[in-house]
Amino acid sequence: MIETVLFYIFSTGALVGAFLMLFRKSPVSAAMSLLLSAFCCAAVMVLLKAGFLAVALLFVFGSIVAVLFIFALMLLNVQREEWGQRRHTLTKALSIALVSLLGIGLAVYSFGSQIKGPELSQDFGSVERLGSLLFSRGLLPFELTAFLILSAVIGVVVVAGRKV
Amino acid sequence: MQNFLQIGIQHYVALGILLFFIGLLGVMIRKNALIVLTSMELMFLGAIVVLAAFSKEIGNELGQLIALFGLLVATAYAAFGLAILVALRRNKPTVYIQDVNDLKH
Repeated sequence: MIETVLFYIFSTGALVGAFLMLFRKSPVSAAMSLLLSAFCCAAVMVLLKAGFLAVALLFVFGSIVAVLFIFALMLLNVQREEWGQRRHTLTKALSIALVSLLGIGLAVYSFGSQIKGPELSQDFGSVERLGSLLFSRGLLPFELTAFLILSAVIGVVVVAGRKV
Repeated sequence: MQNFLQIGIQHYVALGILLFFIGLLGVMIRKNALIVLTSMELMFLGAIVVLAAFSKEIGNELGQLIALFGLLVATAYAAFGLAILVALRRNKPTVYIQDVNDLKH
């Protein structure tokens, strides 16, 4: 029962943050709404017994939001966005189609029959089990991700630091 | 009613789908490049909610592991997107994506 209450509270928070990000005009409030949405998603992760993932999510999205903040305040002078000036009919139709698709997805998944998963062990999702999995089966992707981050850093320096 | 009170995997998947499609809407209808970037992050949030939900459902932590790697990739693309924005801003004083059509003609 407590899971039900917490799920509805935090999923509502995540969706409210998402819709605010869709409709607020300034990039600063959009970044704050993303932070709200990420926080609520981290709480949902805790409900899913993925505590380490929740903490990593908070770290990553906190830093992303901070960087976006600096960008929005310093680089780009904050100005109002013109709404719907050059929006085409095709875009509107696609938007409506997407919203209805969203409603269909919600309906299908809300009224579907209950699926009973296997019984979880007591320490499911603990950092210990995740870590041993990370360094046994996930070792190659782990190393490849390190190379990916390294090349991303080099690429960022090359692209952003170039004098054109 | 029982479907709404008993939280199962379908609720988490519905939340993930909603977040993904709201993010996709943001990518499609917003004009500010910064907000397009935050919308992409939102799509990613929906994806990892679904991954963690299925990971719990089948009782295997591999889904959480994939979500963790996805988180690292998300930081990489956020950093690179902001770098592209800086380079763009240096050549053209705009943040609105409809003004950037230099490759069109």
